[in-house]
Amino acid sequence: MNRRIITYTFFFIFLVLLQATVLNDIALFGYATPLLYICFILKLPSLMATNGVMTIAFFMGLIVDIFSNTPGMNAFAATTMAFMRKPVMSLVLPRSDEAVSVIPSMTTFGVEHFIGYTVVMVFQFCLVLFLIDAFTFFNPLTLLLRFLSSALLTFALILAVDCLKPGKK
Amino acid sequence: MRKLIYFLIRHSSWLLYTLYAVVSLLLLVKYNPYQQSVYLSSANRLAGSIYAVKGNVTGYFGLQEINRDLQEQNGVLEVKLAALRDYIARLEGDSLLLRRPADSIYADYRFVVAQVINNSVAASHNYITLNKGLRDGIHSEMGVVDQNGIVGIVNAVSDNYAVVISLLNPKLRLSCKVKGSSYFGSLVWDGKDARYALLEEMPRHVAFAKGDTIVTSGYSAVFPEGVMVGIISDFSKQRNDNFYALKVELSTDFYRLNDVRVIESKGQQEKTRLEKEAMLNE
Repeated sequence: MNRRIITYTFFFIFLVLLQATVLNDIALFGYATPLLYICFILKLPSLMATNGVMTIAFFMGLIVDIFSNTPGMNAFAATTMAFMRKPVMSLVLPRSDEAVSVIPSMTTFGVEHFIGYTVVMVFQFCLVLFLIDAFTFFNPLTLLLRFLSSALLTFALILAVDCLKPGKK
Repeated sequence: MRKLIYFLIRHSSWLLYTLYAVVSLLLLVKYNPYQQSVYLSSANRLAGSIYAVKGNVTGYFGLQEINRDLQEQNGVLEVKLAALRDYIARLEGDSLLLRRPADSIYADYRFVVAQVINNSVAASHNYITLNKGLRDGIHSEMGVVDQNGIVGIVNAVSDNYAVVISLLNPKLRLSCKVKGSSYFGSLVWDGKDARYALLEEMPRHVAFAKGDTIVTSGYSAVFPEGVMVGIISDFSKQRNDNFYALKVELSTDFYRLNDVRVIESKGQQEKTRLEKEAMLNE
């Protein structure tokens, strides 16, 4: 249990630093920015209480915001995503009686369930993020391109990370 | 009472979500680029020092091009210097001429050289972080330029770092004019391409052509008059046909910013104070 907490802490710091120093600077084709840090929220144990997930998501989003000078934007989108986590899981996963907490991955969820879970979560996160962006600055076509391309890129990266590090039980 | 507590516990995630959502939306709405808290921006110490390390690493990537730019500019300046020397020598022969400082406009400005440690071009509001802060004499509302042209205006400052609102940020409007004319318009980024910005509200009767140079007007006291901004690449009529909107190709390459100069204007504070007073008196 303790080891798991330490692993999560390192994973958290690594993802935030990676997002702040490398990924925020990437704009593939001028539009797609990978938002890989939300991978952390997806990977929290499946039965973790929503309140805990939301707290972690809020502070993680806030730290990323501080680095990218957008106070509140990532924090709001990440909190919303964390809030939606449980409903999305119950929607995507098959109903089962055994309630075991696992770390979401292709091996624990099954490939198609994990992909479904990731797609829904990533797209709703990006949708919220770019809608907030639209409040402050409206440019529909650019925004739509940014939303779709960033969501796709983030999704692909999360799957790639999952393949690199097979889920440990 | 017990029912209430039971209700609160049962719906605690809704309540917590509302709390977080309200906090983040408040941050989002109250966020004003000119009164921005230093702690919630990349000017804070932790973010600043991480970006300083990053700047040390990425600073090397563009050195070749920057070197080439500097040499080109050096060449241009040398030519100008030679021409000026020539001119002064000729004038000095004329004993009737009163001696005056050659460049009295720039005498009111001082430069601080800083390094860019973080920069973005892809967001809809872009910011730049510099490795110099209050200790080096940088304050908010100071102008920032690099060897090619305008970069932005300083926004938040901590002891050692500063955040600059990039020209690639719709929150920044810059008063500019076509070089050689005295009519001015307002330059703003449209959020599309990091190489272009729009110069709006240019009166229709101003004469200009594609390729003309756009420079700062000097009205804001943030930048001296005549600093290079870009060249006109296209233009179109705006709204009621009385104004033109010019598409300006920016001379600053925001994709590879490295060394910049922060301009300190001696008269700026006095001027801002005076203008505020005048507004209050009205």
